[in-house]
Amino acid sequence: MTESKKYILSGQHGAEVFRSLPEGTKIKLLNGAVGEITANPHDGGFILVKFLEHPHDPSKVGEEDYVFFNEVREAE
Amino acid sequence: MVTILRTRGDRSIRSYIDPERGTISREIYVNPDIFEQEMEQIFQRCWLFLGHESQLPNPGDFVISRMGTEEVILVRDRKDHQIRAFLNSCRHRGMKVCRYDQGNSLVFTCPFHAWTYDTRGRLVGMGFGNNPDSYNGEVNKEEWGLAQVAQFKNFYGSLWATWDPKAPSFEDYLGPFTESLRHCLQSSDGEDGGLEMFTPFQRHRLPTNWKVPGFTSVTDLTHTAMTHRSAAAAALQEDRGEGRQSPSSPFPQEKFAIGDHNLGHGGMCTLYRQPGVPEYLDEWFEPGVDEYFREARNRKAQKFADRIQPPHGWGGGHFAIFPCVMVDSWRLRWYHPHSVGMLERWTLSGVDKAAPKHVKDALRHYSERFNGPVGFFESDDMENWNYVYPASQGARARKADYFFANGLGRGTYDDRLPGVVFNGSYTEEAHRARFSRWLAFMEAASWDDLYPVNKDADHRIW
Repeated sequence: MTESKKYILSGQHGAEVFRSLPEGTKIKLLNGAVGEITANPHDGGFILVKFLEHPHDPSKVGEEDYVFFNEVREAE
Repeated sequence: MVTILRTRGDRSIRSYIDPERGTISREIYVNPDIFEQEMEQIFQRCWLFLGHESQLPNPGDFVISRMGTEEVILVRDRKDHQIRAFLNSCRHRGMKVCRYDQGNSLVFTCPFHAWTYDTRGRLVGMGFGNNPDSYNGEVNKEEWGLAQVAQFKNFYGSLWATWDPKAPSFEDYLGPFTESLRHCLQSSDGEDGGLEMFTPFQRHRLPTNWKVPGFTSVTDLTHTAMTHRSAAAAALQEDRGEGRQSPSSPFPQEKFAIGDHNLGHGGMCTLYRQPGVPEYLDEWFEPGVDEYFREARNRKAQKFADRIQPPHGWGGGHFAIFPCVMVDSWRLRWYHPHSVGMLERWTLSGVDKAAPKHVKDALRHYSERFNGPVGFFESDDMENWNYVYPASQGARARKADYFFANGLGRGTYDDRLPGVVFNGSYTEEAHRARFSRWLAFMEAASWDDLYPVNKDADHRIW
């Protein structure tokens, strides 16, 4: 079984890593929501995310929204 | 009385033009106060040309254009695929949200504070937008989208906009030139919207006032005879055959200089007297091109078998749409003011969408020979335009007037194009028409004072 790749979003190269995150990457937000990147404009600001779990607002599951880089806890 | 507020005292804007003598003060071209008023009175109100839909074929495609001194983003939305135009200025602190000339994007993210807009101009996020100590998710994103033009028109592939919600429809703004523009945007076989534009397009920055080429480089056959004499001899005849300039179509037609003083449009005009289209007489240097255009001409002739072609520019000639666009059958050129003494001239050269590669290549090469950095014709013009401004702006030079009386008083109206003044081939009627319209805009409080919103307005001053 292949282990999923965990991206390091902190440190000197964090911004560059975030800017290059490919579509399909699973992300977890600081508020506990989980989603998948559907588009990345590669400018280091926002990514477009489709939510798979959203503990605070279940109505967002299945919806797309823009997520700012500082709201992302993990990406893999 | 509408006045120009100047550091050297107020003066009526109307006093800068002497219709009896046919003269215009050079101050109109070199005075920065007048320039500022033009940006407000003319460029905020008029329909302005932005580009062509073929520059943005795919969802998310964008290209930067200009409206007066300001940048706008033309972008094709990812969802409804419509093209819209937005001011390239972040609603937060005014930073450019797009710093590329063209491309494809999901969003436009301001590099200052990450205010981010989608391809419909809507604000979709800002840095720390959900932080409870800052925005706390409470900003009304509907209210803070990019500033969108008040009216937008895709006219057979050409893209136009105005900032003024009270401006008349684009077709009313064009008046009798509507069908002429439509005709120029047709492919060689007469199909509507049948053109695509070469990209990237040509841009030249010139140290001169926008009105120098914008108002007076159309319908100026005297300059053609003098300024372009050597280029015409060297480039066109040598490249495209000795006979290239000599064929003259026997097809019944009349040629004029025309000017609509109420609308400001005008230029070279061919009026046809009977249905059909002239025979194909051109001679291309490149093999296979004449065959393509001859066949296209024959298909067009079938479409116009029982119709008279709308008036349009002579052969390679052109007409102008106020304030700063020149149109002819294969290109659109327009002049963006940057400051009182600086402009950018952009050229979009077109070719039939359906043309084979060898024809498109030939057209592109011709465009480069004509307009490009190593081209013949436009470099001639730019030499004149470059030196007009410094030779006119000095303390002594600006006290002199420009002479615009060539053909003054000899124009007549013709029922075939109502409202349009017809004059001889070598007159400055089209230039005077633009200054009639210029003065009307500079004096008007709003579109309510201007033709055609005010149907009774008569802007002709000479």
